[in-house]
Amino acid sequence: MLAPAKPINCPLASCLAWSACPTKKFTNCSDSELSLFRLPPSAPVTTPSTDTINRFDLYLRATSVLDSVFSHSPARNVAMPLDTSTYSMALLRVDGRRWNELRRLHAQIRTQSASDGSSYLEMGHTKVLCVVTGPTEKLASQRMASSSSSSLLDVNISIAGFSSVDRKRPSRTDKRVSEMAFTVQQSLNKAVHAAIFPNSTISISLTVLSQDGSLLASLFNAATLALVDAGIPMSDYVTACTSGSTSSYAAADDAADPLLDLNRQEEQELPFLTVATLGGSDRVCALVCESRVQVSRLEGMLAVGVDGCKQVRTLLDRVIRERGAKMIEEGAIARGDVVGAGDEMDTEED
Amino acid sequence: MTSLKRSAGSDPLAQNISTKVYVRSTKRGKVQKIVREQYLRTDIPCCSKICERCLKAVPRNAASQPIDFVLSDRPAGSKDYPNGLYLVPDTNALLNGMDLFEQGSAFYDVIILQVVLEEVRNRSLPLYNRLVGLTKSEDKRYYVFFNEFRLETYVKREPKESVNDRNDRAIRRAVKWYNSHLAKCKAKKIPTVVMLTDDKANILKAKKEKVPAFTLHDYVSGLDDANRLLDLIAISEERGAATDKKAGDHLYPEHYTMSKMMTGVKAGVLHQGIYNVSQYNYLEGSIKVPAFPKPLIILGRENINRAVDGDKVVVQVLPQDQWKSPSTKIIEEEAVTKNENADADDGSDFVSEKERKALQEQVKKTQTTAIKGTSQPTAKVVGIIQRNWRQYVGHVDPTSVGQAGKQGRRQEMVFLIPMDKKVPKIRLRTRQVAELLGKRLLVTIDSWDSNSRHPIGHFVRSLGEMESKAAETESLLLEWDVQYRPFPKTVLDCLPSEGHDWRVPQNKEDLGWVNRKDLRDLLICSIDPIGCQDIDDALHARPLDNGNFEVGVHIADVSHFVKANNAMDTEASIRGTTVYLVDKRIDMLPTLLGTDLCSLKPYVERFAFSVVWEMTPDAEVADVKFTKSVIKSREAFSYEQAQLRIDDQSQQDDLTEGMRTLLMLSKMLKQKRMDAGALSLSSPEVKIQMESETSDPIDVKTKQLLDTNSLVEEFMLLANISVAGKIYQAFPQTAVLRRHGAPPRTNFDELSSQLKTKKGIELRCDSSRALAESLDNATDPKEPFFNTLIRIMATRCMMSAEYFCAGTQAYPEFRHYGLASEIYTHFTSPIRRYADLMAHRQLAAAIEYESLVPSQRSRGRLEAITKNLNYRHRNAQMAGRASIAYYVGQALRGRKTPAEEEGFVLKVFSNGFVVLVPKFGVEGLIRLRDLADPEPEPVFDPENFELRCSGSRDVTIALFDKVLVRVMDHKEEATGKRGVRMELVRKI
Repeated sequence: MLAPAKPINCPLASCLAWSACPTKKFTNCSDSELSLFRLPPSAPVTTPSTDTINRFDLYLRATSVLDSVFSHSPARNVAMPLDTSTYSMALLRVDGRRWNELRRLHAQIRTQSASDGSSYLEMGHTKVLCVVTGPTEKLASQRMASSSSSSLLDVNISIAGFSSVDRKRPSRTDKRVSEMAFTVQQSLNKAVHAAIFPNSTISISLTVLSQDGSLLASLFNAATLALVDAGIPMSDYVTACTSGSTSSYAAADDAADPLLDLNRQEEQELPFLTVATLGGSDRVCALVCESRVQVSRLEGMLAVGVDGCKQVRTLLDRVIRERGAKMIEEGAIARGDVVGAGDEMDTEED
Repeated sequence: MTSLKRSAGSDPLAQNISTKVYVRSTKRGKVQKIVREQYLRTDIPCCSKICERCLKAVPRNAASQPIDFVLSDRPAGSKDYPNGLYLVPDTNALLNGMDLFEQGSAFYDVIILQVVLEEVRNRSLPLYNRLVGLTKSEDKRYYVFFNEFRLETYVKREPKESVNDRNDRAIRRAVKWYNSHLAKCKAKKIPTVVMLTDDKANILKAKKEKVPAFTLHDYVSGLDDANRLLDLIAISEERGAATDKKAGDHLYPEHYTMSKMMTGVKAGVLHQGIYNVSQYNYLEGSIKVPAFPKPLIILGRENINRAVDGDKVVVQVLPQDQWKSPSTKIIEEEAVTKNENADADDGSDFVSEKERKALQEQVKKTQTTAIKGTSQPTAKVVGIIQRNWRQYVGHVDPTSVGQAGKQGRRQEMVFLIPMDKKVPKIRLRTRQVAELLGKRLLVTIDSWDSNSRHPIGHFVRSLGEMESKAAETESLLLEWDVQYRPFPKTVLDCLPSEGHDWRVPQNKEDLGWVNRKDLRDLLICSIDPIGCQDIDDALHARPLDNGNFEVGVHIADVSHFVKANNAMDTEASIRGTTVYLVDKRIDMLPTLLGTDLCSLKPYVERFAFSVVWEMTPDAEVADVKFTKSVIKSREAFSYEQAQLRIDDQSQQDDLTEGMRTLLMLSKMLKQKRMDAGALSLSSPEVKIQMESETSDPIDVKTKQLLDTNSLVEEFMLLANISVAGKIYQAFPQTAVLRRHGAPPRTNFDELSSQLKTKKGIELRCDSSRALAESLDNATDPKEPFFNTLIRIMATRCMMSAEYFCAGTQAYPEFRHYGLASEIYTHFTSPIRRYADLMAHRQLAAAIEYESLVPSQRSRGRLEAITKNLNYRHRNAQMAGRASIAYYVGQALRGRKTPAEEEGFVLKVFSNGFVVLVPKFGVEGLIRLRDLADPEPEPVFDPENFELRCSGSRDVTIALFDKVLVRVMDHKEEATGKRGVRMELVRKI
């Protein structure tokens, strides 16, 4: 799992904004898929005087609510093993990884037999449980509420109080959590063949047991696995990971390297983004960046992130296939052409 | 239900992953358990050039650049190890011997282990920074080996094993691995990796495990030049302990623990602040704490409790019966503690008889006055939060050197007397006393234990023969922390490649001309002191058709040449300012820029940043424009030349007329400023006249101020104010401005009571305007200098002006008290001040000439820069003054007969007084014992600031008295210290 990623370098590293990238590496997805990638909303946290924002900065935020899950922790100036600034000494990150390495990823499916689909996923010390129920008929109240937007998926995230360093009482109205749920729901909706299930709903319950960075990415991956387990038709896996940059915005270090799969400590100190892609393609279906970062670094970060998503897809695919093979062995299902055929990465039948 | 638990063995990667678990408590007292992953790998290279396996699998960054292999294939060896050695110091070796590792003659090819780096960081941040500096230097070949991330060298803490033991074990394991790893190389000569440590137990364990190890001491003894190098090792606790008394034999009270201090401070029982030593009495200090308006006094060695000037300390207020008034007596350390023996530094007479006597007398005196209620609260130091120790310059006290030391090579303890009077004597252990005597030395303080009377330090390097010009100049640069090393190559690489041949491009299509105004046809001239090479500013004025005037200030466009964040910019931001010494200038920017390409020299075209006003004939600003421009200065005047040309009515050309207009307007501007309440303050400024060839000082003159001085000053002030407004408008959070806080009333208490009793003059200080007026009225018809004297004294009561970032203060706090301006910045001298350069960049962004790079907009970073600038600015001033003082001494030394000069009494003590001699700008102390021998009987009247002497000499000295003094250069035989000495001739 410590396999190095092949970096994708845009030949025109100087192009200003990636959406205008002349190589069209990342622009092959439609606008709707980019709905989370927005330019500055009217009211970011700091007042946008010429001081804080100018035309060279992309100030990316999904919405302006923040500050609940991560930002309360007294991050800095504690006894750390060498901090993130020592990367330049030996090209090692705080936890001993190289710039292009994922953390250990462990996943299981069908962890709860009572549910229609379930999964358990660990990315480093971030641990997420997912349970999928459905498709079921929409309740009358749901039908009323969502008459305008006929969303198939219903995503629900609960974060355990013991999941982070400081014990925190889970709150229902946490804007940040509902924002993550919205992001997951919107992006998965695109991948699921919703037209097959009119007037139905599929509920995805995600439980966060432990947090150590890349939370949103883990939620995506766990949800995808559980959906596959539940047998919901999807066009491909939706896999996600984070990517960051080795030095902070203010350091203005031009030689900054992109980083793959940040842990919590890195997330607190460095700029990072979460990217989700559809299967093995470069189709970005969610991109969330809440930190300030020089636009010149963004492209490299995105390239590494997309590449990381492909690695994650391979890993998840292996989990599914192993489980499938085991089920055949146990005689739970009959051997069919689909499972047996399958070393082709891009078979979409699940 | 399925169980999700996996057995550890089922995961093939389990052995590659470890977790680091530790518990910490937050500021609020919450306990947190932190768990971190740690990936163990096998591809961390050993970085030795002989290792072909590591070279093959070298890690690369995102741009595919490999890391450098630093350890040489032929490291220096020793007799027992002819194949060479790679050194692996442990934490103590680095903490005690950092100066050794920085030496140029030895200590190459060093492997710093990650555990060691972490430990150093936890123990001492300054040392950590020096160590990181070493690992970055290219020629020293230091490599940081991340042993905690390498599978083979990772060590798990055993149950009940202490963290230190575990770390030591990790070091031994790493050394062992290194040796076995290198043994597999094909090279013929395979260097040995040895551990350097100062820990006896560690050495023993290493022997047992067959890990090659040395003590630092043994290793250094085997090197050439061992005697010099051995002195560089700090006195470690282990070796010092043998000579010291048994524990419990404390001379000083123990310091409180950090948590006890913090609790006390929080509860308001203890107070935290910066400890300042009195200039005249080394046994008295004061500390300003937020809880009280006036500083607390700290008296006596025991109460000072090992605090050194500048330390951040915690104090406890003493009970009221121990309150005293600040001393009225001069106590100098050398005089009181003269013939102490450095070796016998025992506690038998902790507070020596003489010290006790000196204090006793004082207490007697204050006891009587205390009843009248002049006593002030006193305090004692209970703990030190942060030491402000730096490297100190000084010389060995010859009286502390024994006979043996003068000849032999025996290790000996000697005293070092620092140049800075506020720093106590430092005990120094050395083997080379004979060489060190009579030299200026650089030393550091290592520690100050509670059972040692003086701090213990070690020798760093010798600056040269005392009183040689080079050594004295270098020592004052070191003492004021001025960066004086030549610019490194990386900085010089940022200069334009054309060098001195750089010209303003003739082709207006050139990039340099974009958005630049062509002002070459304006009649611009510069006015500066004689011999000025770095011409920052030039001026012009011309009448407009509507009866108004166009006035322009043109400032060298340094930001065109110094781009943000390159090596030159970083270096300049560290230097902060150019430092002017009498015979030397320490530049902020390389000379090519400072004196040529940026300097607005006459007759050539230069890039400039111009501020152009339209002014009415009453000097009201009607309009202001900022623009980058190209100018051609017509003439570079000195102040005198400019004055002569203006006064010469036969000159009627446009240039002279323009200067006359400027002068006329500047007078009006000045009047307006004065009406608004600007202060004209004063400090004794003198000028050293040098012999042109030998640059030996021959005479001292006070500086003369001409109208043209004030002409330039007024327009520079106006430009600074205009720019400040503009950049604040554009960058309300990050504009770099300069403020001058209103001084607290209490600062003037002493001066105003002195003025009232001695001269019957009321000093009002409710506003700058009131102060300006009362300063104007503080005159003595018989004594024209009296007013200047008061201004000098008032200046000393002021706060110092400071740079700041606009977002850190509320708008009313921006005010510049001295200039009576609401907002102010520095814009007009970018060649010699970094703040001006920042203002240039911000102004350029404000007029949309070019955008600011992000780091120039980050407030945190700007705050750090302004903090450094304030520090550098103050130090530069101090260094400049110290240099003048040194040369005044030299000039006096050249005279055959001692000069007799007029002076004024600035301060009166019970056993002496301070005299200021305006002609030389020096202050001197005259003690009673200098008046006559035997010492005259003094009667001190603190109410009237009078000292009446009788007996051997009848004289009454009162504050502000004019006296005739004999000023001469003097070397104190005992201490070898040279300074100005004064003798009282008579009262005038």
